[in-house]
Amino acid sequence: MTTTEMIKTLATRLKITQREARRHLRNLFTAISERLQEGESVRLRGFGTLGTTENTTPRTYDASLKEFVPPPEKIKIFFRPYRRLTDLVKERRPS
Amino acid sequence: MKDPIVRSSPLAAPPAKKPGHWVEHLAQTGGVDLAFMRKFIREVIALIEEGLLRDGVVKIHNFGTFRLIGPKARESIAIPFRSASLAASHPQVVFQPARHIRELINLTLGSAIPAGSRISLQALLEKHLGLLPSTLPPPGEPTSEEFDIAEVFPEIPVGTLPTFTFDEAGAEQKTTTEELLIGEKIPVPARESPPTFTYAETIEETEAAQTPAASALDRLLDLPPRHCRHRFAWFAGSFAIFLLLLLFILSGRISERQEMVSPAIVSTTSTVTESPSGPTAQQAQSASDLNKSPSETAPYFAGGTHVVVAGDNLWGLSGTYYHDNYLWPNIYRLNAATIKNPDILHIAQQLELPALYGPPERLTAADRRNLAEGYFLLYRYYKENEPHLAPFALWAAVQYDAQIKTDYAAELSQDDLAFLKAHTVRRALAER
Repeated sequence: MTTTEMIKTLATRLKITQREARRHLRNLFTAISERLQEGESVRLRGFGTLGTTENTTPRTYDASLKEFVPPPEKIKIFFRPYRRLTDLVKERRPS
Repeated sequence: MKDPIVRSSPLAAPPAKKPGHWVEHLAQTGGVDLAFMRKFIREVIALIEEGLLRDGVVKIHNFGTFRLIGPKARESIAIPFRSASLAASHPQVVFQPARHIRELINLTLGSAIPAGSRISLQALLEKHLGLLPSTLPPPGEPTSEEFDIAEVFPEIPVGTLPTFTFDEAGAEQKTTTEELLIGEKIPVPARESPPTFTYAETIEETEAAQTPAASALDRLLDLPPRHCRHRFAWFAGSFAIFLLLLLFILSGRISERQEMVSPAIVSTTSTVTESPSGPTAQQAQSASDLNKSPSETAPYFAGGTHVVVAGDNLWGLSGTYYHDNYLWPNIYRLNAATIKNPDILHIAQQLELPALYGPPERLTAADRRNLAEGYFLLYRYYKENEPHLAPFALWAAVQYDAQIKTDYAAELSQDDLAFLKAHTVRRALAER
């Protein structure tokens, strides 16, 4: 599924124009990404949680320096699905 | 206006906010009520779920991709039994954020400028101030000097960004000691001289230093710098190719139109001069008079006879002798007495091949009339045996000679005439 399909379906289901659907969708994902930039997590009930976490890559050994080098400081985005979504996915038959 | 967040440590805990706050803000921004926005979000979530279950992937432009990974069976060893077994795993939903979102988050939260790192001014400006590379000096030029960020900005903690000011020449950089607020947009003063001009100047200067003779010639001829000339040549070349293509297409269309118009003119003049008196007279004339050449030039195909062998048919014979399969009713017209069914020829049957005076793409009036007669004979045959095909044969006959409609008006039914009109309109619409 792509954004275009999503916009068309939303416009049909909510009885709004595609332009409005596109605008609302863009606003929604911009708001979510802004929240993530601010370091906050976004919880979408029944779906999952989007949030940020530190880089969990293990330290590496630098042979030239002969010492362990810590991983670069980095923020990663994670998605933790709700149990309901996980169950739905488990029941899905592969096409 | 939203208050910018000042954070001493990049990984400090964010301030707590009421749940649902951002949805309210979103509803206000979108100019809709909260209930609608909640419904909208629910629908979006439902759509993402549907997409995941249906396709296994949901791509959201400028945000990221939700993807279904799995299921992968992994091997596990049961230590008490000392045996390996396959442990089933379940599919997982993962989210891959878009690249710019990852970069933005690492820019605001992560260590944007690692301590002690040596980065170029150009890279810094490009990365953190969002300046386009076109506004900067060209890459590889010695203008982008490297400096130690910790030496130049000792007061600024790691993770915050310095602001830059330019003097008139744009050569020196001065820093402000104020701490930059995360999320704030940094105003960068515009340079007085346009950057492209500076770029051109520098290029010209370097070229002048490298090839003095060429630059002197340019100055003498008052030509633009070399890179401008390249660009101009590129534009001129592409424009010339476009013009040539346009001319080629137009000439092809004009010749096609001339080819289409010329037979029609010939046919109209011939019908006026010949002016057949009636259907009976026309039938009497068809075999003798119309086969004569209207002009003194040699005919395209002089005529002859053909003995049918296995695999022959009228369509194929027309293609062989006339180089156009659609002229087969011309053969059928001359052999209508011996051919009962135009779809069936008998082996060793002798067929007379009528002459063709013009080439298939420029048929003469006599040829067109002969063909119309042939198609009309076919119309008669179809009307008796296959009525559903009869109107099409009539339509083809009228296409070759419209006069045939008036000559044989007594034989035409109202349904066929109505079909003729409708089919002509349909074809015209389809062609348009």
